[in-house]
Amino acid sequence: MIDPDWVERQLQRIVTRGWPVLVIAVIGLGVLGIVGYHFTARLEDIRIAQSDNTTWLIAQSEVEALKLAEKVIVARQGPMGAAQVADLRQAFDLFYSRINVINTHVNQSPILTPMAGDPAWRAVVQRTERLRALIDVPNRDLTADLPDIRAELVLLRGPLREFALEALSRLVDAATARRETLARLWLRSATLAVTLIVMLLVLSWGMLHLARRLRQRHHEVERAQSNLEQTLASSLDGVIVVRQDGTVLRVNPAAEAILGYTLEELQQSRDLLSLLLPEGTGDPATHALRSMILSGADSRKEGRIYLSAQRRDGSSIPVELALASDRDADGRLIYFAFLRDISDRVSYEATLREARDSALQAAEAKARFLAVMSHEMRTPLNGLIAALDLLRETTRLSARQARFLAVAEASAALALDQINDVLELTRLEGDAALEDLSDFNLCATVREMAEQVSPLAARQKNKISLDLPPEANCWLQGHRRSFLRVLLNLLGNAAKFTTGGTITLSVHVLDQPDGLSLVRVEISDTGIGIASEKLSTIFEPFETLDNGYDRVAEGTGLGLGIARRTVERMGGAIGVDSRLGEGSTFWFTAPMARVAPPGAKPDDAPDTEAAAAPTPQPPVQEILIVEDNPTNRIVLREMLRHLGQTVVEASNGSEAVELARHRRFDLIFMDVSMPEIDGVTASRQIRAGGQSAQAWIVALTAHGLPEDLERFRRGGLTEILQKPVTIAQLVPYLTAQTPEPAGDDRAMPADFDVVVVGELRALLPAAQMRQLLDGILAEGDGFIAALEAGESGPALADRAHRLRGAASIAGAAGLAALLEKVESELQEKGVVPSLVEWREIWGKAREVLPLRLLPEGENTTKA
Amino acid sequence: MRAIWGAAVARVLGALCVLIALGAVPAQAVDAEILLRLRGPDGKEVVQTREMLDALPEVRIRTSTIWTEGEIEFSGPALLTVLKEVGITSGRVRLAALNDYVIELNVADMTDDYPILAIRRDGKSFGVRDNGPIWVIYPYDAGAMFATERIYASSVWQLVRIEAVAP
Repeated sequence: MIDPDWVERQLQRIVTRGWPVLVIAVIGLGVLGIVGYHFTARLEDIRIAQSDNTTWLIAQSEVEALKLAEKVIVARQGPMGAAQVADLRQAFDLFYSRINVINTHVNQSPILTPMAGDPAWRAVVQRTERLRALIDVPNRDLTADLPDIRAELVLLRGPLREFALEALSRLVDAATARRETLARLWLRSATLAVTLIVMLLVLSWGMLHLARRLRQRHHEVERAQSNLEQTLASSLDGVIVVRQDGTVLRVNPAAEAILGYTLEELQQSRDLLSLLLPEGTGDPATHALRSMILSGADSRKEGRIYLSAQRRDGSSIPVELALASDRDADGRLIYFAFLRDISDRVSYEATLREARDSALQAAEAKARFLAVMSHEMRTPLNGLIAALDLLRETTRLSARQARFLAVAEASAALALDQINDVLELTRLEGDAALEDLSDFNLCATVREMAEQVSPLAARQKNKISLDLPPEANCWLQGHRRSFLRVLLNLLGNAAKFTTGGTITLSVHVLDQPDGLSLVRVEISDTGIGIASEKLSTIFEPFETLDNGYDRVAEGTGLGLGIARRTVERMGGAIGVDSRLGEGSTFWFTAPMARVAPPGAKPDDAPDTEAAAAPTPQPPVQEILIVEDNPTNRIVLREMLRHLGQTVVEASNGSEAVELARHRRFDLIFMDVSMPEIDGVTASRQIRAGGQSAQAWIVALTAHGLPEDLERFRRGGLTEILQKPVTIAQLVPYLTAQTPEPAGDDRAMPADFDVVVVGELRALLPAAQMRQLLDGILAEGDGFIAALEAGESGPALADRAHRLRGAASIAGAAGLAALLEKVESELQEKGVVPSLVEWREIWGKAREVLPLRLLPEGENTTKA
Repeated sequence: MRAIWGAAVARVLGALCVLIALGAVPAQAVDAEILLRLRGPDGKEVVQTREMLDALPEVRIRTSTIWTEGEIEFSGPALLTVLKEVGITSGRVRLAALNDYVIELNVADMTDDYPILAIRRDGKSFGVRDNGPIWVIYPYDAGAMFATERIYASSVWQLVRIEAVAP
């Protein structure tokens, strides 16, 4: 299929290129024409005899003169008869006529004209005239003239001969000249003809060459066309070539297969656009393409468009379209549309998306399950720890049993730590926000943390070296608790994994362009270090569980994972540089805003949880916290500091005894179950002497059964405070030196464990919280109903137990405590609780529970 | 050689015939000036006087010639007409002049318009000194075909005799 336009263009090109040759040919033909004309004219000259046979005429004149002379001679020989006279006259007439004609020639012929003045010819003419005068006389006088005539004729002979010779010579010369001219003309014509022939040959050769090239080009174009056809035919992509007006120029089989239309059908369609991309698909890409084509934009749009096209059977098909545009030979806009059927891909993608979604859902469900499980496991674990504690306190154990018990206690504590860590990690990975921003002094906070870790460091014979530049002594606003958590984790790790070395803690504050200050904390140790291949995974939660770093000492392996997430949530970064056997350097950064130091505030900014509930400021007292669990210790310390107290911490019993001996404490919170020296023993030793012998010692325990109280009292412990501790519970111990004796009445149904509630709200969606609440309410209603029905014994105890379980999971610590008492009294003494009292308790709990458990705005919907 | 001899004998015979013919010219014809003698294919001799020639249809040719100056109106009967008078309609004729100039013409080349036997120049008869009294004239100015050596050679002056050439 050759494009006729193309052929025309090629011909035009050839014509344009060949014009000089053509001009030369035309000029040559013109010259040939002129020469031909000249030649013809010359030929005509030759054909037209300009003269009679003049030479013959001239020669004949001499003959006539001789004839005349002869007649004269004859006439003189005898008497002249009439015939002789006539002969003489006739001879003269003839001669005369010849001279006349010659004279005409001499006057007219270009060759002989120069001879008009020739003396010989003049002599001839004169003597002829004289002869005529002699002859044109009457017959009788003629005889007398004969001698004169004879004499004239003799005299005439010489000049006539001379003229004849001269004239002949001239005529011959003229003839020769004419022949030469003719010869030259011939030569010129021949040369021109040969030149023209050569030129024509060259031109013919050129034309032949051009024709051959044209043919070759045709062939190439045909090949290219054929290749293109083959390419299009075998292309897996559909190709449609279409003019802007919708005229389909070409459609390949793939396009026919994709669209279901044949080429003829597409070509016959009046409105291709509406056929393939109908208006009503509602696909924005289709709409955009329609308007682009309709507007006639010369699309240079790169890339691929995904849209849906309509097939012949009316079904919609997702296609990937690449559009290119060009102009045809007439400059009209044409589009090349490359179509690819992406139905398979689209369905694969949908499948993949579904798979991913369901996988994500499953993962989320698992995470939630893990969180809920951990949360629910905490309560039984607390029970287990309490039971173990009881066992230790109430039973005389053999050394072997004590060892087993220690293992059980350590395992339970570790399990609780792990559960706490998992919960913290889950909380951080979820959407729960960090605590609110608070102001704190960076330098003081870091120093305190170092002090807090120093007992642990000292145990491993480590020194802690602080590097606090002047700019670190500033007030910042940030997530203080999160910051402390990370710092504590890293410092704790450094202390654990270094023995007899140095831990360097350095802090830098860099002012950033965005107005924030970047706090960078570096903790270097000279400990065991970390193998380089583990550095990349050390911050991954669970990853490090089986690895040596965390195995060396106790730990969940989640610490660094929590640290990393905390740092990331704060907007900072965390990293480590370590060499196995040489030590590690952990660092982390956190952007914080600088704030003005609080002028009057002597202490750190209050914690958010505390800030949430306004509390009266009790008098400042010297307080010692003895608690081996650092988290519990930090929480308690922070609560007390929030209440404006001066706090000193001890992480074990002997440390506490040592501190209490040298310093007078007003109040000591003593963890009952501690390794080595337990709380009861330590209290006894403190009471035994020293500065703090008179201090009020409050026992901290996860379990608060009455018989424990008695045992603790005997050991010198004044009061029992059940863990987890709330600020509200703490206040009475601070406001009065002799607070009301701890009793069941102190437990109020409105008391809630804020930490637990916070966790729950972070972990569970509102719907589940409501479910939880409904469960508690149903249990509670059931319990009251059972009381009203006069139920008693194990059945009622079971109800109380279930309600207590539900309440403690929900963080309703006060309610749980009251129910615990009911449960134990029912089980041990069969005492049925007072219906009136419990109606009141439950009524209050019903009011408070929705307010605590449901998010703002939802708690009124179902009271 | 034989052909030359043959030709010479023919000439001698021809001359004798002329002499015989001259002798046979009737007396009254001789009185009126004989301008032209014709001999037909049958050998019969016919003479033409000026009156006889005048009686024939006159043809006029106005032309210039290479032998004269200026245009001249020649008039006289067409040669073909004269030949028909003696029964010559085809073949060749031999024209002879006063000075024994002889030329043969093809009758087929002649028309009723040319050549003519001009017996008048500008309406007047003319004599031997002016190439007369009979001059074979073609319309030389009428075209290149009349400006050839052949035509010029055929333009016999001082024509005195015409005879049919035996085939």
